[in-house]
Amino acid sequence: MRPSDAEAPAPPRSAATSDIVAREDTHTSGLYQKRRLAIVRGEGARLWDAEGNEYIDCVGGQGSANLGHGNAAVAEAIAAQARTLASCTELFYNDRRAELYSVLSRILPPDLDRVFLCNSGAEAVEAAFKFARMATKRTRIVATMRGFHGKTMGALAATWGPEYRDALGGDALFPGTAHVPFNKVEALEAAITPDTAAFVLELVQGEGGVRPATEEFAREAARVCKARGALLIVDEVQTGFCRTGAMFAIERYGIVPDALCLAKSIAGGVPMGAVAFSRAFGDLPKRSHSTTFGGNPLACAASVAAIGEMRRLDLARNARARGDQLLGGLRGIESPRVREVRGLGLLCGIELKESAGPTIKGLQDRGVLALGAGPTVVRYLPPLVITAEQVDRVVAATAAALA
Amino acid sequence: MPKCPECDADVTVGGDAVKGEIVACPDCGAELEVTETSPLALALAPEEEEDWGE
Repeated sequence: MRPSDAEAPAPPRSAATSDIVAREDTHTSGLYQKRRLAIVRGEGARLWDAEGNEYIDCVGGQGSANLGHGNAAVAEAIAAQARTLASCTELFYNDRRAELYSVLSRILPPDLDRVFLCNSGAEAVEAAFKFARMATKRTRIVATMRGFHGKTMGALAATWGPEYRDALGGDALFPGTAHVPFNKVEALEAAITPDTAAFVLELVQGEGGVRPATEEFAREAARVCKARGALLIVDEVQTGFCRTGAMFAIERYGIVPDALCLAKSIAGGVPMGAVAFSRAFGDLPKRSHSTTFGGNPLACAASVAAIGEMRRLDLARNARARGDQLLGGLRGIESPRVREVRGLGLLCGIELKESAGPTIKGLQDRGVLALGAGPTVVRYLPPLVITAEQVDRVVAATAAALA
Repeated sequence: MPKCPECDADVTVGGDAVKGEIVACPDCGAELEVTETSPLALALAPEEEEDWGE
């Protein structure tokens, strides 16, 4: 502990924003571009800042808060498991982990009957790439332009953003990786070659601008992969767990990949990731991959409770209903600044003809927190418990911000 | 038809485009600013500072 830390008492929950900002800025990594807003409390789809201002949350923990804030069942499950057993590596078997496997097997396609548990979406993608390379004995990974799969070194090979890759050497750092234009079916045949280990795909590009894949593109990706002996990895880190109006977006597209990457809302806000994969991967070599915290009982208990709540509350149905309401409301806004409104379920975006920044700021000033998806898209990623009245307020705030 | 300076794809811009408007490359998604309308000219748009993790 540094002397300054020892001298400084922890800030009270109601500490003023300036105090919280100063403390964070003193020690933060500096990697994040932060808004000068200290969020201290949440309930359902609402958030409060340190000044007591209330917001409708359309950031949704960047997709990790599908269940809403302050879910009692998840909180109780976490507390109970923390008192019972928080740590237990996969050196041993564990009752909560076994329970989670059973729960996942009931919501996943039957073919995806093996699961690797980890701690984040990027970790899930890393693991899926390693498994694909080990299983196929090939090295080439094909991804899509505008795709986002994380920023760790392996996942970054598939992430498109040149702004993330160029400082690390760009394509030279990740030889054998290729990117095809999203939704261009004709590009798949040329890119997925006999030396391709895997093709990784988001069914709705999130950071890439809230762009749903066409059914034809998803179907052709599966077909070409099968024909070339490559494995299809679908990244549902953001689209999973009811976000698009089904437990997983693959249900809406009618495809079953060889591997499915999951994270964000899988454990009700507790960090967790997972790769569900099929027998096409064969037997993975013992000790070829592992993680200390993966499958820990605390996260497993949170996940069991969170998935149970998603089903009890029928969040997939609410995501469809509220998503239709939000998309309809946004499409009804008459503004020459709007180019297009698009989305699936409650993963919605409004593309502007100008920078999205001022509109996102305008929404914040009107009590709605939203996020960007590239320079021109305002992205709405609310908790799936958002109410019809709250969606109406989001639409009204958007119309006012664009007026 | 103008080309994307990032990936060389053809970029279609509406006839009602105005100076300062931002369009996306249909292939790579690069954000391009309309710097002139007659004749049409595109340049990479300034990057937004905020980002969001996986």
